[in-house]
Amino acid sequence: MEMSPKEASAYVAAEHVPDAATHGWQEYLRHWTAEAIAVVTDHTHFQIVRLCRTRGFRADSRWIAAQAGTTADAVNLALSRLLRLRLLQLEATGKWSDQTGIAQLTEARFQKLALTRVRKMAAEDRASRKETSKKSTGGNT
Amino acid sequence: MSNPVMQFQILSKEPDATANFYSQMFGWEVDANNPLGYRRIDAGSKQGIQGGIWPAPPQAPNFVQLFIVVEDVAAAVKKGEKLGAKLLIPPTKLPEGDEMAVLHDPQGMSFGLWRRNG
Repeated sequence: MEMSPKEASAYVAAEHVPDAATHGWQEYLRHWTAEAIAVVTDHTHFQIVRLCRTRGFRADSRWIAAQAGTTADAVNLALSRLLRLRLLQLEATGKWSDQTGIAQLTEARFQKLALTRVRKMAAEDRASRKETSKKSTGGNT
Repeated sequence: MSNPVMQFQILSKEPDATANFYSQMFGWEVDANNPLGYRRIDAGSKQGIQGGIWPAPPQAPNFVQLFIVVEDVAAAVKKGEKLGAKLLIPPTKLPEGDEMAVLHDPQGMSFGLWRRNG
């Protein structure tokens, strides 16, 4: 039986479509790699934590953006990440509370802690995905 | 208490462009004059729900989240986790007093819980 070039291409392409497990693994890597890169390369994260320790801090993304020399969108993006990584908490009083526990805050110390947190949460996510995968396959993995 | 969908949130890598598009497309008004600079959408109708636009992280596609009203955000988080959801953003008080949390459902789709101030 002969196969046309188009059919052959389709078979080859299908071979390269990742299955659900591979897709999940790629998504996992993409997410956590991006989180790690962001906390190291985007100084807005450190600026938010630094500023929320200062007197006169205003829980206002526009004010923070002006102090940090960036945009409110960049502040909000970093704010979401800090919340996801449990490095910041917004309190009922309107206060933004630094959850790093670093006594003498420096950018290097902050980045080290943030990366440790990313690694910890990535490991938890991996374990959770494995557990979910086991359940969905009835433990036959 | 019932748990209606209260709000939709568009997460966009280009929030301004997204706001411009939907404003021009549907005449929605977008107002970011609030402490988070959150782009609130007023669709100009009492039908349906209102929404907002928030910047999407670079590793994620643009997507939409639904926010569902609950009486007790922390209790709803616990219930969700028991049912297999994963907590993404823990219960958080927003500058204007509302409270929210974001979870992934067991199939990996994110959704929000919301309790209005007062």
